[in-house]
Amino acid sequence: MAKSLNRQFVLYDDKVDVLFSYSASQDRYFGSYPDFDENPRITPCGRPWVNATKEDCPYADEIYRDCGSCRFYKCEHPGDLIGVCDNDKLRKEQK
Amino acid sequence: MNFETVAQAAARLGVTVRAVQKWAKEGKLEGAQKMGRDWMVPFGAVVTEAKTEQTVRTDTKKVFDAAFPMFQLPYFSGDILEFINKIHDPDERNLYLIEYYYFIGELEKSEEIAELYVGSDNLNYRLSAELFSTFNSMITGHLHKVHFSAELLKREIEDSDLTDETCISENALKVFAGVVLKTQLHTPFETVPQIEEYIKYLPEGLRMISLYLSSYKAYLAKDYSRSLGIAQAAMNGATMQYPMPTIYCNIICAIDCVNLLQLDKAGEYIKKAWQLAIPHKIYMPFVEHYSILQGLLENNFKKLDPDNYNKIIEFTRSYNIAWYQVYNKKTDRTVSNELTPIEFTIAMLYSRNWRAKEIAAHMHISERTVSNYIQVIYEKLNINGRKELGKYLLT
Repeated sequence: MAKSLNRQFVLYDDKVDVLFSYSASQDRYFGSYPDFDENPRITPCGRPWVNATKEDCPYADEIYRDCGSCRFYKCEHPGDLIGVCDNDKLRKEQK
Repeated sequence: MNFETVAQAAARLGVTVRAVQKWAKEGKLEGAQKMGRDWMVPFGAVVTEAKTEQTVRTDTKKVFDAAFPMFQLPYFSGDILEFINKIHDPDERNLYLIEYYYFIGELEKSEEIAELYVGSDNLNYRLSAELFSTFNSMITGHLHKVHFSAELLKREIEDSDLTDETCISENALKVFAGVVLKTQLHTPFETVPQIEEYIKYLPEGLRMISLYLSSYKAYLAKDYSRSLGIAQAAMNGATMQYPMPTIYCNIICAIDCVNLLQLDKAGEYIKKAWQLAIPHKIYMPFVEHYSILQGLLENNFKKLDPDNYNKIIEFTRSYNIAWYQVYNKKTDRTVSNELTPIEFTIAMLYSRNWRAKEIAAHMHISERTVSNYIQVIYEKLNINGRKELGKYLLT
C-alpha cells in the first residue's frame, strides 16, 4: 500500500494538489487539505476556492451555515472537501 | 354513613374511576348511591361478587413488588451484589441480577439468567427478561435475538386488551416495557399507548423512570425546556432517592442543558449521575446516552477518572455499532463502525449546528483540531456538509 498519494482537484480550469497519507490504524487515506481562509486561492475566472467546512459566509444557508451544505458549493466529485464557490456575488473581477 | 367519591374509592381500591363506576352500576359495591350524575360509595366499601377482580388486584400488588426491581430500589446501601445475594427468593434474586448485570455491563451473565425467564408464565419475569434480553443481545451483537425479543414484547402488548380496567396494573407494566423499548431503541411500535395515561398505576420507582421516558420523548421532539422540567419534577417529587431513575433523570437533564447552552448546569447534572452510578460500576445509562451526551463525559471525566471513562467508551463502541446496524435505515453504512467515540461526539455537535469555535471551547481543544476532526469525519462518511451529516446521525 502506497504511504501517500497525490490527488489533483480540477475545477474551472484551475488545479489544486492535495496529498493523501495512508493511516494503517484506520486502513484509509486522509487528505492534507489547504486552508483557503489562511491562503486564499482564486480560479482564473475569479471564483474562490473554499473548504467545505468553512463557516460564516454571509450567503451561507441560514440553517446549516457551512459551505459544504450550500447550493453554491461546486466540487469535482460528490463528497469532496474542497471546491469552488459558484456565487456570482463572491466572484472576484478578472485581471 | 360516611361516603366517599368515586375517585376516592378508586384510589383506595387501586383501580380506575371507570371500574368503580362500573361496579357501582352493577351493584357490586354495597351501599353505593347515585347522586345526580355521580356515584357516592360508602367509606370502606369493598367489591362483592367480583372475586376475580379482587384476586387480580392482590396479585398485581405482588407483581409490582418484584417488577423491574432495580428501578424500584429506594437506595443503594453498601455493595449491591451483596444485597442481591441475600435475597431469599431465587426468582426475585434472579430478576435483580438480570438488571444489575446489564447495568454494570456484564451482559453475558445478564443474558444467561434472562434466558431462563423469556416466555415465563409470570408477567414480571417475562417482561423483565424480554426487555433486558433485547438490550443485551443488541450490545453483544446478536441482532437476530434483538428482533426476536423485541417481537415477543411487541406481541405481549398487541395481544393484550389494554382497555380492560380490571387488570390495569398489569397493563401499565406492559405499556411501561413497550415504551422503554419504543423510546430507547426507536422501535416502530405504533400500538403502544402513551405512558402518561398509565403512570399513576405504577409504583413510585417505575413512575419516576416513566417520567424520564416522557422527558426523553420531549427531548427527541427538541422541546428541551419541557424535557428538563419533567425530569426535574420527577426527581423533586420522589419520596425516596430511587438511584437508578435518578441517574437517568440527571443524565437527561444534563443533555437538555447542553442543548439549552447551559453548560455549567449540564456539568452539575452529569456529575450527580456519575457520583451515584460509578462507585457501583453502573455504566450502561451513560453508554445508552453517549451519542447525545455531546462531550460531557470527555469534558468532566476523561482526565479525572480515565479508567471508568474508558470502560464506558469500550461499551459505547459496541452499543453504537449495534444500534445503527439495527435501526439506522437511512443509510447502509454504519456510522459508528466508522467513527471513533470522539469523532462521533464532534459529529453530533456539528450536525446540531454548533460552530467549530463553540465545539472547541466546549471540549477544551483548539478550533483547528475540531476542523481536522470534521474533515476526517467527512472523509470517512464520504460527505461534505452538515446537512448530510445530520441524515447520518438521525438528528
